[in-house]
Formats: sequence, C-alpha cells, structure tokens
Amino acid sequence: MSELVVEGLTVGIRGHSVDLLRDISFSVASGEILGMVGESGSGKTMAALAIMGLLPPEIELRAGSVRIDNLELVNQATMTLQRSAHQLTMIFQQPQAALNPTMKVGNQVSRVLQMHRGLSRAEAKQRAVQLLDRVGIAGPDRVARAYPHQLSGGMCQRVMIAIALACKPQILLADEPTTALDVTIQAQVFDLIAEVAREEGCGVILITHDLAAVSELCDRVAVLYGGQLMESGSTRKVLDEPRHPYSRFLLDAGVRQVDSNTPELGVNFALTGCRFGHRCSRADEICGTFPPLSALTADRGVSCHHPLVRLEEFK
Amino acid sequence: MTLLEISEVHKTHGRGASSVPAVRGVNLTVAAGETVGLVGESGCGKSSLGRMIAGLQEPTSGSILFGGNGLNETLHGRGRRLIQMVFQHPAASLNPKLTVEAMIAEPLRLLMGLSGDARDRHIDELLTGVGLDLSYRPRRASQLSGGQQQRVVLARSLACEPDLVVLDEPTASLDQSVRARVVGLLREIQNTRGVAYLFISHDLATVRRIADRVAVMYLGRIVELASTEQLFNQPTHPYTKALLSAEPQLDPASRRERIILTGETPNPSQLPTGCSFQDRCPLVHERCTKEAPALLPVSGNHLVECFAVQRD
Amino acid sequence: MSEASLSRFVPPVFSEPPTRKSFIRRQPMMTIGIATIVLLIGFAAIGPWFVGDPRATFPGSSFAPPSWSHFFGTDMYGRDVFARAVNAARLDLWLGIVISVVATIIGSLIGLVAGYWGGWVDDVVMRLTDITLAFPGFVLAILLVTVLGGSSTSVAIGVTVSFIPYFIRLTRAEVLGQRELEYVDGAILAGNSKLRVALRHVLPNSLKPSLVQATLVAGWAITTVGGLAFLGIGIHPPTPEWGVMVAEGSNDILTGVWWTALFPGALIVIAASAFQFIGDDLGSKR
Repeated sequence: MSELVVEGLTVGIRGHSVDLLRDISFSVASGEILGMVGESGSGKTMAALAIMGLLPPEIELRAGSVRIDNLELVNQATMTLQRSAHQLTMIFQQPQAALNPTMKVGNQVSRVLQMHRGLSRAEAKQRAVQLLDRVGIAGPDRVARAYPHQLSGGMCQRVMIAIALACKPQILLADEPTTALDVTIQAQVFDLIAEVAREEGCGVILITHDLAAVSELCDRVAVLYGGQLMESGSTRKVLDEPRHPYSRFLLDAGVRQVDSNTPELGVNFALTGCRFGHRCSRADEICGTFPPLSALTADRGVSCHHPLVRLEEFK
Repeated sequence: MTLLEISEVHKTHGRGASSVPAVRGVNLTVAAGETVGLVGESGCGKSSLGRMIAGLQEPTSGSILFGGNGLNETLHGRGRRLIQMVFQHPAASLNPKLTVEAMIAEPLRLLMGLSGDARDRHIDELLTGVGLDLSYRPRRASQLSGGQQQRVVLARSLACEPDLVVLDEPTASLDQSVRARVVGLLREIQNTRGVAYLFISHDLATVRRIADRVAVMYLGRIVELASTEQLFNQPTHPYTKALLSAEPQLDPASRRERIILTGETPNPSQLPTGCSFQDRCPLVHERCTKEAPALLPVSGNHLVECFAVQRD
Repeated sequence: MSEASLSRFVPPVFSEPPTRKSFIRRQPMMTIGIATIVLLIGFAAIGPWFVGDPRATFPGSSFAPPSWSHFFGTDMYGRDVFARAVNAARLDLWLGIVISVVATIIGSLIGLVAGYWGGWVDDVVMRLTDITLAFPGFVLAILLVTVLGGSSTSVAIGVTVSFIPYFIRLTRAEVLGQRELEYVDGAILAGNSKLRVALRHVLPNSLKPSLVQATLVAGWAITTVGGLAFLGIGIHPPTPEWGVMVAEGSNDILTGVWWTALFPGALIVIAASAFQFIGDDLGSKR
C-alpha cells in the first residue's frame, strides 16, 4: 500500500523571509482522494508545485520532507525535489493548454508510454487506444488521431488523465481539473477520477476552491489559507464539525447570508502568527505566535490556538 | 409592469456555411424590479442573448422591446443609460489606464450630464453605495482585488441609474466568500433602487439565491422557465434535472440522484432535426427526432419545452 | 477584543520591503543605452558652441592625424573632423528622433483606424501596408528620397514613410486584441461615442508595442539616413552629417588616413546601438 507523506513543507520567495507555505503536513494513501481546498492565494497550487518539484525559479523550498512509501524525494542538502512520473503526476486546470497543439493526442499518450514504460512504438500505440477507452472516450481509435483543438475541454481533460495513467503513478495531483468545464461535464470527470482512484489504486490530491465538490468526491480534506494548513481530517468530520474558525467562515460563505459590507481582507503573508489572525473574531495575543498543527484525534489536525469545540465536549 | 420583452430572437454568428446559430428563437420578459436568472452551459447562447439586450450586438431576427419601444430607439443618445451590463472578468472590464474616479465619472458626464461638484458628490455616493471608501478614488484597476474591481464595475453601471442591468457571470471569477458578498450587495442595490436584473450564470447555487424566476437555456433555446422555487423543487425538463443533479452539494442530505448525461453538447452548427437535446436525453422517443417541441406551460407559469412532460 | 490590541500583532502586508536591486543592475543594457543617448544629445545640444565652425578649413593642415588641437584629426580640406562630427550629431539625432516620433504617431493612428473600424477600411489599409512592406525599407527610402529631391526634409519624409507600415501593423494587431476586451464594451455602455472609445480607451492601451518599436526605429533611422547619405542620396556634402562624412572619408582609407571615416562611422554605430539596447530591454520586459 503506497502512501504519500508530506511533512513540514515550507516554501518562500528567494531573498524574502516571508513564507508562502508554512509547515504543511498531510498524507494520502493509495486509493484515497484528498481534497485540498482554499481561496485564491491560499497556496494550494503552490503546495502542488512544491510536491511535484515544479516550483518557479524565484521560489525556494525551505524545509520539509516528501516521502512516497518511506522513500524521501527531497534532497535535504540541496533542498531540491527529485521525483519520477511513476511516483507523481499532475493534471491541470486548462487541459487544452496542457496538451501539445501540434501533435495528435494518441501520439501524446503513446510517447509517454514509450518513455516511461519502455514499450515499443507499436505496443505503445495499441496501449494508448486502450487507455483512451479506459478514461471513457467513445471511439478511442478516432480520437487518438485527432488534434487537441478538435476536442472539447472535457475530452481534453480525459486525455490528460489517460496520459497521467500511462505513467502508472502512485499519486495523481489534479489542480482544479474541472474549473474550465461545464457542470454536467464536471460530474463526468469527477466520476472518472473517483473510478481511477478506486480501480488503479492511486492516491489523488484534488486541488479545488469548491467545498461542495470536495464534499462529494473526497475521503479527506485539507483546508489551506495563506499558506497555512488550517485543518485536516475526514471530509464529513471537517465539513460537519469544523474546528478551525477559518473552515467555519469558508463554509458559511457558501450558505449563510454574508453582510456585503464586511471588508474583504486579503491574505497577509507577513503575519508571524496565525495567518487568519487579522480576520478572526476569536483572535487574541497568543494568536501572534504560529499555531502548530495539533492532532485532535488520530486523523484530525487543526492549526489554531482557539479551536471551535462542540459545547458538549467543552463541558 | 413589463420592462423588457423579447420575442422570437435569433442570432447567428458568421455567414454562409460556417455560420453558427447562438440563439434560436427566444421569448422572455423581464418585469421592472425583477431578477430573472438565465442558466446554461458554455455555448448555450446566454451571453449572446445578454449582449443583444444590452445593445452591444444586433439580433439576426426577432424583436427586443424595452418599455414598449424598440431597443435601438431606447438606447439612442442618453437613453443608453437605461440598460447596463456587467461582465464576467472584472479586471478586463476596467480600463487599466484609468483611475476609479475617472471611470465612474464617464457615465455621469456623458449620460447624466453632470459636472463639477455634483459629479464629485455622485462619485462619492456611488463608491460608498458599493461598499468602497473614498480612498479608492485615485486607484487603478490593477491595485484592486477581484471583489473590489467588481464593486467598481457595479458602481459605474449604476452611475447612470439604469432600469435593467444585465449581469453576465458577475461572480464566476470571484472566491466563494467574496461571491457571497457581491450577491448580497446586488440584492441591497435592488431593494433600494428597484432595478431589474438579468442574471446570467452557470452557477446554479448563486442563481438560486438571487433570482425570482429562472430560465434554463440549452443550445440557443430556453427549455424551461419557472419561478426559482418551482424550478429547483420540481425541475421538469430532463436537461434541467441533469443540470441540477450534476451540481455538487455540500450537504449530502440535499444531494439529488445523479443523472449523468452521456456525451457532450452537440456542435451547434450541425443540429439534428427535432429536439436538440435528443442525443443526450434519457426520455427520448420517436417524436423527438421528427419535430421540435415548443415552450409550453405545464402548470401555471411553469413553461417546459419537452414532449415527454407536456400533456396534450 | 479591542482594535488597538489587535494591531499589535498584525503588521501591515509585507512589512519587509522587497529586496530592491538597483535599476542599473536589473537592466544594464537599458542603462548603457540611455546614458549614451543622453551623452550624445548633450554633445549635440551644447557641443556646436564649443567646437569651431564645421566648415572652416585650416589651411596647410589637411589630413592632420588626431591630436590635442584636432581630437578626430582633419580631413582633405583641412576641416576639423571633431567639429563636423559634433555638428552632425545634432542633425542625425534630430532626424532619428523626429522620424521615429512622426512615424509612430501616424502609423499608430492609421493602425487604430484599421483595427478598430475593420471592414473595408482595414482591407484597404492592410493591402497598402503589404505593398509597401514588400520593398525592403532601405530601397523604399531610396525611391522616395530620389523622387522628393535632396534635402534633409525630404530625407526625413522619405525615411518616415518607409517606417510607418511597421507601426500600422503593430498597432492594428494590438487593437484587434484590445477591442475584444470587456472594458471596451464597458466604455460603450458608459455612453462613449465610437471615436471616443477608440481614442481614449483603445489607443492608450494599444501603444506599448509601438513605443518599443519607436526606440528601435530611432536607431534604424540614423543608420538609414547615414546609409542614404553615403550613397549620395538626400543629404549632400558639405553638410556635416555622419553618413556624408563616412562617404567623403572612405576614399582616404586606402592612403592610410583612417580617422576621417572611422570616427563618424563609429558614432553611427554607437547611436544606433544605444537606441537598440533601450528597445531590446523595453521589449523583453514583461
């Protein structure tokens, strides 16, 4: 049973003391779907890039460990990350932009098979069609000969998933895979991702801003804000009984009427303490120090000095 | 009182063999002070319809009446102020070279004929009205967050006191918490000014929170039109049902049985004869492939365009 | 909890200022370019008052090599090459800048009209532009200057016209992109007339590529003007002009007199490169 474990991931801009991600820890088991939710600027995409070793040159990995099956991917001396496509692959928000526009999609899949699986040209071609069929593309023979611009967004995302599967990854990162798609197509892609996790046994990290999507698809959830992992745990527990004031706030935003004049406060990366401190009604002096992610239960962590605890537990 | 009356509006983009029908015979009315939601997936023609109503595009055929007069007549000269539109991308809706005050001053001067102190006072009032303080006056779009930009866009479109605002996905590019605030602001504005909204969106949850009536569009036609309550509680058209079931729900208890539509929206330039939803419809039968259904009432004000649910 | 106690642990966003590399270190080429141009313009502006008459001859000292009395030496007629080069700087830089500014203004306006109005106006403008661009710019300039006759004005006009098509294309392409943006619709909704939308909203947002091009063109214009003069088209001797000076001096090289052609030639290269450096850096900036 393969498992991705991320511990103490800290990332910042070179030459700045400010951290863009601070002390992020989470894990994903094979066959499991972890939802990573947050608003824009929460650092969810940054976390994915850090795990993939795809950070832009001006961003540096400062600390942390990324392990797959206890195999360390981060070189602790140089703080660089080495991974193979067999361990980790990623699919992106704009599938049409992620595919090579000048190459038939069948070839794009079979190239990956040749490179990562050492298949011969003919084998790879045949296997590519099978993979396209596997991701639910009707008429895979015909689609394999098409160019990306001839396919719809939903179809392109399926091709991206086929390419990801071609590497037989242990972990699949999906960065907002359905944001560019319509809701009925989104439902199809979500079903496919769930099926892939279940049947191929790979762990999936779904990066999204949509709590409802997390609620439907994910086994566990990690809530990010301002580069701080606020809360993590099983989806139902976190969504039904959020323990972090920010999780509560995020859930309320979708449900309750919000006073239109409460100010929109952006993320404040300069805060040395809790990144939600300046927006939080429960904040006090102690929130000026960084709250470590403390385990509430075995599978439930919260990074808060004043977690919301249910009344009965309080008594 | 009927403010806007759209009858049999068609819009075809391009000419000849490469022409693509975007809107194919839409009938819709909007009453003064009302909010009509227009939902549908990309390419269904909802934005084209919105742009025609705002006078940014001419319909290929059909008529759009505003207060009983033709649209071109209405929007002539200062009449432009009566219908305003807000777009999806607030950053692209603001001229990057102009300051907030310069942008709001434009409609005040050009459409309301205001100048000097009176105009200045109006700018202040409008900014306060959308929840921005006066320190934002000299800023440019790039110095504002997405939510603030959308507030500026709203202030500008409200500056000329319109009767109808077409809102084209105004919250799609905003974060959840910001989205909730903008929706709250839109309702507040409606309560104080009595402006009517045509709220175009693919986001059913947001539409549900703001609209009085909802029209569902599929491939250029309205397939279902009902009050918000009716539409969300008793969706009748098979497409509406699938659309509602596909929407992720936070609360597992409110989840509907998932109806996964097979296939994708067909190419609008090669539509089959008969009902345009036939290829994906779970209720399709022979009649649907031969003739096109019409939008007819199934009960009271609940209109549906589907043979399977219409009783004749 | 009170506002005051909250602010104690809430520093403003990015309390630490971003590390600021100096402009010189961030854009060394741009700095060199700007410094050179400023220096050259300084020379051209005040130099002529300090150096002697560029047409004055020093009898008996023709072909004097560079020395403290004649920095750049003297030519065949015993004229001071430094005095001539400094006076020529005035004409050449002036021509380079005027040509680029005028070509930018005219080209951008035509490009705006073609891009924003589209339709047959666009077709006509673009076909004419294509025809002009079919000629190499230098050949077109030769043709125009030959027709217009030999004066610095006709050179200015000829070279300007040969550069205008570039600005038309650039601005039109940018306008085509800009006019699809929602702020243009927003401007129409705010009651702007079509002309006002084009001039006040679309044009300012479409100028950037043309401004980059303008610095490059200023350099190219200097080489073109010099090149034409070298070929004996447009500006004639004894007008002090770098190209004219190179043309006159080129015959002397064979006899071992290198300074009459080298110094004005080097100045053309320096001025043109300086503009190029600025343009390259502007263009590569995101």
